[in-house]
Amino acid sequence: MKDILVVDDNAINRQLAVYLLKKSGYNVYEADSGKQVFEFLQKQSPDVILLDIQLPEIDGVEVLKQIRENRSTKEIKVIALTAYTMRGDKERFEAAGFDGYLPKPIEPKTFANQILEIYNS
Amino acid sequence: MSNDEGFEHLKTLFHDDMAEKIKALQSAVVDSNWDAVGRLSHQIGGTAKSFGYPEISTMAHELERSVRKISLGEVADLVKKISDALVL
Repeated sequence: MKDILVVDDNAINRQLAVYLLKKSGYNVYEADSGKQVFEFLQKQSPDVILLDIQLPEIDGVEVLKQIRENRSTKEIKVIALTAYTMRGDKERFEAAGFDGYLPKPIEPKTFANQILEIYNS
Repeated sequence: MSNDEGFEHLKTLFHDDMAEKIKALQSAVVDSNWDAVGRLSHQIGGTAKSFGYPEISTMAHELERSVRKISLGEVADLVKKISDALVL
């Protein structure tokens, strides 16, 4: 795992994720909308996409659906990064086809390891 | 981890952003715009704990869950507690 795309319209959370992952040695890219994700994927293929659910215009579940429908992107690991942490949310995101689920708020000390664990699982 | 320059810079950005979001949250309560209250409390709850404010995250999540079920007074009370917690 080398390249990670962080998708979050909340700039603070996105910058925190980028900072922590860069510090752990990854190449990190950013997007703040589904549209930017699709533009990025036309040029590059990251190993992992960290995808916020509450995005403007196209939400994270719909972004994932389109990633899975495209032959060139369907194998990318996509992890839901979300503050939807009520009972049943984890199951809902797994059923939607996410490879893993990370609840927000981001826990700075364990964040990079949590992603690696999901990637390797 | 929390002592380096990069993180300190993010903390400054966080404080500015949080102050703005809390102001917007207060306006949304005044306007009885419950969609906005829900959206803003969701965003606040999803960030605050990462920067050392777990109690703000807890209260914001509570607000997001209960905004349409509790009285206006209780909503205003929670918003004030969130605001006070950031200043302290």
